[in-house]
Amino acid sequence: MPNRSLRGKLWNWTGFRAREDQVTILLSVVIGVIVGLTVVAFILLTGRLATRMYPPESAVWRRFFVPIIGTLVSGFLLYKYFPNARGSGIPQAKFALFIQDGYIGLKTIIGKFLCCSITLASGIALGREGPSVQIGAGIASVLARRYGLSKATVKALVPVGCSAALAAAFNTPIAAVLFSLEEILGDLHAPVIGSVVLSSATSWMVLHLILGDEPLFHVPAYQLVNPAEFGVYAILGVVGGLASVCFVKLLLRLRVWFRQLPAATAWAQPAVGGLLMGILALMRPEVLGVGYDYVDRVLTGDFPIKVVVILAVMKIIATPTCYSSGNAGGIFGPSLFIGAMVGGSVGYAAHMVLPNMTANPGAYALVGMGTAFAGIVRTPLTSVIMIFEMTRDYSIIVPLMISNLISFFISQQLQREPIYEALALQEGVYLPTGESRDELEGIHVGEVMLTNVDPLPETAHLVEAKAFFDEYACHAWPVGQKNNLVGMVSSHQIETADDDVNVVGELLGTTHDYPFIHADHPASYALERMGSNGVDAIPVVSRANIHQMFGVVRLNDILAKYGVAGVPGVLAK
Amino acid sequence: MSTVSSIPGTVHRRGLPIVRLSVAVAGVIAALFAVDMSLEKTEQGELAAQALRADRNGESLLAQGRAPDAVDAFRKAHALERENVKYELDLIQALMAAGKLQEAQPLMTDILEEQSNDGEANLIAARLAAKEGHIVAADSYYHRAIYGGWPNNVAQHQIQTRLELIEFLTQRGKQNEILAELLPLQEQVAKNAGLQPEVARLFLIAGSPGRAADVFHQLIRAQPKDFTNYAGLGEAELALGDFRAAHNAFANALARNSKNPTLKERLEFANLLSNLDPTVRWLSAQDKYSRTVQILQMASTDLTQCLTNHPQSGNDATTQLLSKAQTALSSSPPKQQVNEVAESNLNLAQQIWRTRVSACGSGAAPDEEALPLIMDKLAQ
Repeated sequence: MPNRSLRGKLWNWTGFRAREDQVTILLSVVIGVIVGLTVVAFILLTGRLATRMYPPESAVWRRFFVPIIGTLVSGFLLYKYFPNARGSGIPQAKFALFIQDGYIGLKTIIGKFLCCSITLASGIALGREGPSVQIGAGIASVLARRYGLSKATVKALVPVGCSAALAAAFNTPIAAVLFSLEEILGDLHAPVIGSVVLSSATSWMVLHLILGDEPLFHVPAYQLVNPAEFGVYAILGVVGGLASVCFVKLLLRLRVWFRQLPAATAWAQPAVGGLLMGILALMRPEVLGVGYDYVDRVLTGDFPIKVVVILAVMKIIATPTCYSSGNAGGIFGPSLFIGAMVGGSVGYAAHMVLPNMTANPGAYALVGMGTAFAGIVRTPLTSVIMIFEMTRDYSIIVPLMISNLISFFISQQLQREPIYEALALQEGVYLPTGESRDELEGIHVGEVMLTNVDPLPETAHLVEAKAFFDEYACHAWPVGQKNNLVGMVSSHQIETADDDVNVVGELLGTTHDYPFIHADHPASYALERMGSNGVDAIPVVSRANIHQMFGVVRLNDILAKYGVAGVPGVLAK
Repeated sequence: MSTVSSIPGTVHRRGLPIVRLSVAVAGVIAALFAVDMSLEKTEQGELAAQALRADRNGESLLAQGRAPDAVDAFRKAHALERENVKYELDLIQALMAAGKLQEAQPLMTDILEEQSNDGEANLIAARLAAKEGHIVAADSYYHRAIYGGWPNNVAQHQIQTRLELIEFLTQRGKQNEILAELLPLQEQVAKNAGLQPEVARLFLIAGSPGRAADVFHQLIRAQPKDFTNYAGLGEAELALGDFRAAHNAFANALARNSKNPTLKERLEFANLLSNLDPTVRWLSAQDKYSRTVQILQMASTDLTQCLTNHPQSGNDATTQLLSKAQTALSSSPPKQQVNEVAESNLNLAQQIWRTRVSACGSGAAPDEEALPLIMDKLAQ
């Protein structure tokens, strides 16, 4: 057939099928262009819609009713048509990357764009950057799939889309690359780094082509007035860290509360955020929206301290409520707003106490932005580079690093899981993070696990279980069904069981806690988990559902893989 | 039409043909670009209109003297249209009016980094530097403004800026610098009759009454009916020490505006000085002596008043001087020595005046204006 022949020639000419890496590079540029254009449209559209919602000198009633109506409309759309478009977009992009082989549907992209535009235009205190990341990842995913690329390549292109989106949304191409590697992939040495850089740069160029060379924030030149200021920046790190922890804990607790409400109310839940915004906006209209204009004003040090403190507190309450109630929107922008207000407050206080030794409060607001970002999002390297790129002021780097690291440390101590990991855990999803990257090195569990095995049924008799242990040459085994794992039982439990215990299910505790591991974990980590739990076999489960068993990994199999002999059952107790 | 992928492990076996897909992608890019440009154009238009409204509001508030409110309005205009230098300069001026010089300075620096040769930017920088007390910098910015770029009416802007610089120098008593600015200004406004009186007035301030008199003479030739030109000439003649000519000039002015009380006062004053002037030719020895007695009396009284106000300036030398003056005033010289005594009185009066200047400065109250003028004349 001539058509097929022509296609074949074209594929041969492009090397499409044979050289997928080259296609990936080419597609990275295309993704950068499309994502850049889409994010620019998103920025402009939300801005224009917001102006329509709140024209200059508009009536006070708008401040109360517009957020409520906006959240009701977007809440209905999210409930009825776009359930996957809720929330920030960062965890969703990570779900797609680690659980769904990079799959994000076109419907989700459209839903995210539409619902976020409505939400943000109505003045909800959420940001546009997180949603942009999901939109970017989605575009990358759709394009890669349409071009018929392999699963691995589709997955590899998801962070490429994320990077392009963040570069355009924040006007920070380097920070976008770092964020994709540090947060999305959790690996600063990921092999896709070339594509990530390429898409970020392309998207940034598109942004500049259309919107020009304007930084997100305009900051007066920063100056360190006195070395003693480093102490004040350290205090800012502590305050920023504590504020970040408050923000994250409030958001997570409110989200748990909202999730407990009846499912039928899901469409109306976003309106709770809208109502709160309406009430707060009656008191202080500055709390509406992402508030970058006011961040700019704090950065110039021209905002009364009372207003700055009030806005910091209001935003710390408003954003978690809006997010947890199920609105579509991110927390990046609000993090920067809160950071600027907290930093401004500390700066004003320091300037009052030590007027000759401290800079304008604007300098502290600037550092505060990075501090809150490092504390909330927990990407310290990204936050330093991001603030540097936003302000283009190199002299801010050292105070920024001091403050960020202190905030990061405090946040890490008081809130164990980073926010996106914690949000995923609330969904029952276990995502790898930058902090858990070490766990993912070496021989992977997937390479040594037994896949064609079943768990012990709960109804299995103890004698059968003993025979099972003998058959598999181990002293512990998962219990339940492949899609509904409920626990583990050991030979030691069977040997010491009371006479009235007949079946395995009766040996399981009430909490149904059991050790597990994922297929992409290294074998060394499996050994650690076995040691700490006193078992010589451990179930390998899905990251999306820990009750779904993919297989079992045994101590002897790992030892054999490492080339040493198995040590027969010394661990089972 | 769908196609079947041949590579192993692909997610979708079915997809659009590569060419058609690529065309579709190109179409999406073109459509998105068109949407973006359209949105951007709309945004720019709306932002520009909002910024203009805010700027006009700021101008109105500033005119009402509500500088802090004007700052907010200009700040909004600047935030909406950052590349508009006018809004930024308006903001800086409002900040200056509100006394927020520290905030104005970085904005000014930013503008000058990008528009270092802009006349208006340098003019406002000069005003800011003047407000901050940076005299040298202000002087430098004024000159950059004069020779900088102006969008239109270049000569007019240069003249106005130079006049502002002269005003600035006048406030600081920099007579030589004023004169240095006035000479090019005089050339620049040679054909501008409206500004000539101002130039002449400034020559007087700059301590160049001869040039001032020349300008007034030219003006009188051009506009002989304008009394202000005669009045100006009278002041110039007073400064030159030609009290008779000053008297004539004021008399001419009064003839053209007889109901002007100020002119009457100045005429009387010129008359007083004429009657006090001991250097007039053909004056009899007795008249000269009596005028020197009056001058010595005035100088002595002036120093006494000065020492009352500044007792720390008094010492034995001043006491001796006053004592000498008292002796001279109380004695009446023999007829053949009148001329010598008159000269001696003038010397003593000048010594007393110098003492007075070093103790209390050369300034005098309006009603004691005659003495400095006489002393200047004597110094000539």
